[in-house]
Amino acid sequence: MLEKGKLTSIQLFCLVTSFMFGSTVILQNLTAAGRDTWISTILAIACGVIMVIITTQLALSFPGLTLIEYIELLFGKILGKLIGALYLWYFMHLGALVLRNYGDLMSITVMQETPIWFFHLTLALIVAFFVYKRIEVMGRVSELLLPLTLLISIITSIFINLSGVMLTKNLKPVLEHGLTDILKGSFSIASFPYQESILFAMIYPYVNIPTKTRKSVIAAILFSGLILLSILIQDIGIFGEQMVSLTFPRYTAVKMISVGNFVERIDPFILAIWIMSGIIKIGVCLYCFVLGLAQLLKLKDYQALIIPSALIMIVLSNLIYDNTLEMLDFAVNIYPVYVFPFQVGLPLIMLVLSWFRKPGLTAK
Amino acid sequence: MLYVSLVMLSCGLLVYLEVPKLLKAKGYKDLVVFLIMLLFSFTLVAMQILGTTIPNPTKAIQYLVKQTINIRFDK
Repeated sequence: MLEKGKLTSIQLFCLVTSFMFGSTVILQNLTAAGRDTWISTILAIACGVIMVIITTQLALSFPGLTLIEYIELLFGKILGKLIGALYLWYFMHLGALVLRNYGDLMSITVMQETPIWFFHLTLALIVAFFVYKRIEVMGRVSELLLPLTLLISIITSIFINLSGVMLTKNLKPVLEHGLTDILKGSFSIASFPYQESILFAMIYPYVNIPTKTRKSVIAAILFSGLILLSILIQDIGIFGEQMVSLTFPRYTAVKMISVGNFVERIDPFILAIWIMSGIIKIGVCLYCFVLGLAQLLKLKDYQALIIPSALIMIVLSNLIYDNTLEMLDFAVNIYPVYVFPFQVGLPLIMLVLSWFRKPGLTAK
Repeated sequence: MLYVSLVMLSCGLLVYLEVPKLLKAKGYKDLVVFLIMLLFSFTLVAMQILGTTIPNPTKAIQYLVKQTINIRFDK
């Protein structure tokens, strides 16, 4: 086995929660449903939970094997390697997208004069070091950082409420745009954070008690969904339908905090905490990429591949978009369709195949 | 050019740090994959620093998605 470390189910919970929290908290915005996007978020969380049930079912029917390994068992050698390579591309691309989100966040909001590649380089080096320390340290770090993330999101929620910028009239009228738009919105939201848990199919075999995996991941998705939902409702309460015109709504909301002319401009602190959860998200993407590559090519270790992969990720995130508007258009309109096969299509096919091919596999 | 030589220097450092470990573990396949990956990533970085146009994968994905299914999810 390539990875000797083991995660506890609480560490997995923290890892998934930070992963979901990652770039979603900065980019979360309205979709086609307008001010009813919070209803689509609830539907999207349900979709995420269903996908977790499917992927953990796959992990339970192939104990000790990761996604890339059982793809090869299910689809055969050539097709399996091809699909595995597609998944590797998806992991790498997702990491580059998240890296770019954070680069854009920094270069638009706080450090306008600094070139964007500088943020990519520094962040990716930290991420490479984080992944270099293997899965157990990743679990422990997320265990350490999650309480901080939660604390800061609770504190910002309280401060935003005290600032008196939220208005209930911004949430009304409910169901103005009809049900179709809500479903469209939930398709988009489900693809962005909640169904990305497919990446953890690479990590499930390294949990010490496999039967507890499903429970802790579902708990993590519900928990992070609840936090993100409350954040979204606050944002809608502040901006109403004008939120679409903002690039980073949550950052703008945090900047509006003003409690008794004393607690003001706390955004740099909050930015620092957000970057920490971003590091965990990019770290999981990079980890899945290097581990998957090592398993696909049947190597002995993945550590040597980390820095070259991080370099490719930096280059990819530099060239992937020309400007921020393109990024927002891609994240909302193109991304949900592009990742649908990876997040829903292929896992469903694999589930069906595992029912048919299981007897032959166990005989081996 | 300064940046390219800096990247080259750090890649050399990486080779110096990683290759003895890989040789010790007798991972010759690992070594080949590592060197190919390093060469590939170094080429990409050098191309980007020197300002060569690298094909953008996002454009290809955009084209593919718009050809298959054209829904807009925003307002």
